[in-house]
Amino acid sequence: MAEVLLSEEEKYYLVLGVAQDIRVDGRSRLDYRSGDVEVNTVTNSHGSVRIRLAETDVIVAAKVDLGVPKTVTPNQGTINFLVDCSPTASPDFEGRGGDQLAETICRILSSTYAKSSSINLKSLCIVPKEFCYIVDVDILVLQCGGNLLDVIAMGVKACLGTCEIPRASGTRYDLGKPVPVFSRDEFQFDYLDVSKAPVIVTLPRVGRYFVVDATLEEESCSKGKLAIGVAPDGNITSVDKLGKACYQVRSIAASVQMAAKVGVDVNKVLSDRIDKLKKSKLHSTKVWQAKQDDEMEVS
Amino acid sequence: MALDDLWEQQIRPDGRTPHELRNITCQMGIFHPQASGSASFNIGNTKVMAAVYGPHEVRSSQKKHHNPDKMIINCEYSSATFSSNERKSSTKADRKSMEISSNLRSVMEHIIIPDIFPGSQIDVYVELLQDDGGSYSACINAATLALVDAGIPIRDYAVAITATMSHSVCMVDINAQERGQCAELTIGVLAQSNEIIVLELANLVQNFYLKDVLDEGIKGCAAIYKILEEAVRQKFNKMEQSLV
Repeated sequence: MAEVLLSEEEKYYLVLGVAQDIRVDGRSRLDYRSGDVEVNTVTNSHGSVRIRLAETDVIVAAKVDLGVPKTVTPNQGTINFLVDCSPTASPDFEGRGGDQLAETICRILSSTYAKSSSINLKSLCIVPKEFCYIVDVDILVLQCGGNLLDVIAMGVKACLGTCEIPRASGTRYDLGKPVPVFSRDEFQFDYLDVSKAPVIVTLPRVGRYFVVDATLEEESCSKGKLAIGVAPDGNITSVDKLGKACYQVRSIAASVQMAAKVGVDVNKVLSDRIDKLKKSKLHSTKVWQAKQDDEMEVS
Repeated sequence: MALDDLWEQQIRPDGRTPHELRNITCQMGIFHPQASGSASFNIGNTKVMAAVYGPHEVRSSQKKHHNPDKMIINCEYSSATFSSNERKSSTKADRKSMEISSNLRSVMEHIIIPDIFPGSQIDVYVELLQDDGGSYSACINAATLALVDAGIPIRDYAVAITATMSHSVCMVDINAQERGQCAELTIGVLAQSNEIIVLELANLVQNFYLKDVLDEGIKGCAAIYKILEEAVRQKFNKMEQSLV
């Protein structure tokens, strides 16, 4: 991730503040920063979302294509992820600089959404063994202000939840093979059910305490972090250790408890937002501005 | 097919008259404070974001063959995988991106006052979010705005637009649908002196129409310059009010 240079005194101040539950910007260890989600950012995709949490800014776009199901899962569709770190976020991402970070995030997302408990891939199947939907989710990181993985996970959930999957109104038979027929009405579409999709809570350890939604400065004061996937019902879907830190079993157990509590709240706020966005789907904004009444805040 | 109404009714497939530009919105300081300067430029459905980092110390990769009296200008263009209708399946730079990057760099080198910060480097990064025609010209406009936002001294604004001629009618600001059916001339000028610094033509235009298309393009650039100037003025008025 983009590195920030801090002096020893600044690091000392930050770490001691976290220990007393007062971070540099005044939040407690469990507070998120404020941000918002917007739909229809990219009009040529089936679903697109721009999610911003303070200075972290990410665009997630999903394109739906027709394809053949994999032979091992003949009655399921596929969701593919591709992460692109734009050099506008940091000069470190120029050329191939952002590839390693992109690979890590891609791997975590793919394994999260490959599970049947997160998303029902069977709903993406049209004709078993012959036709299914392939959803290509493209993530573009515009600005990185810390906590990138969480924001991307929230954005992916929002994007998949508001993505318009064309409705196959039936099949016709062409030389004995079934071919799906799509309705010509562009307002007839289905939404994917993301009510069980997890959100990722990244917990870097600053000093002796874990913090939620770290800024770039706080991340540079921590040697490693735990990325924990939390489903809306509080169950843990995945745990990834990133970075160079070592943990005791007690710390991991404590952090998982913390993530579960926080994750449930985040999921609830995000689901409410997705429902509101689906209702106002056809409304799009031209100039990027945080709307005062729709601002999302989690504490 | 779609341009059949052009000569009789003087109306284009999306309802515009031949000399009408699409809706333009631009904003400065979108990546503040992380980037030194940034801007977004949207024309119709074409959306571009630009960020400027610098002037800062020269990066180690370029340090070996770096003349300490000169200033390095580095430019990279990338398009999002979802930007065009055909999804790009890889994020790695292809030939087209590299060509546009080097063209953009020569435009930036032209407008930035040379060697004003010797021994330093300025990075200009442009990201294409959505391509609906006129993307290269939108990139130039966004990069100019981002440089102004960063406070880097420039000679003049570089503004660009596309123009074409079809069915004996000159048109400005070509969108993707029209691009498929007629030649597209990208023209970039220095706004105040009207000198042409970018000229690219794809497909063919008949010889005696070329001058008309160029004139149309220059008029279109003047319109874009007014909009960019207004955006800069608004930004600095706001800054002034917050200081007072």
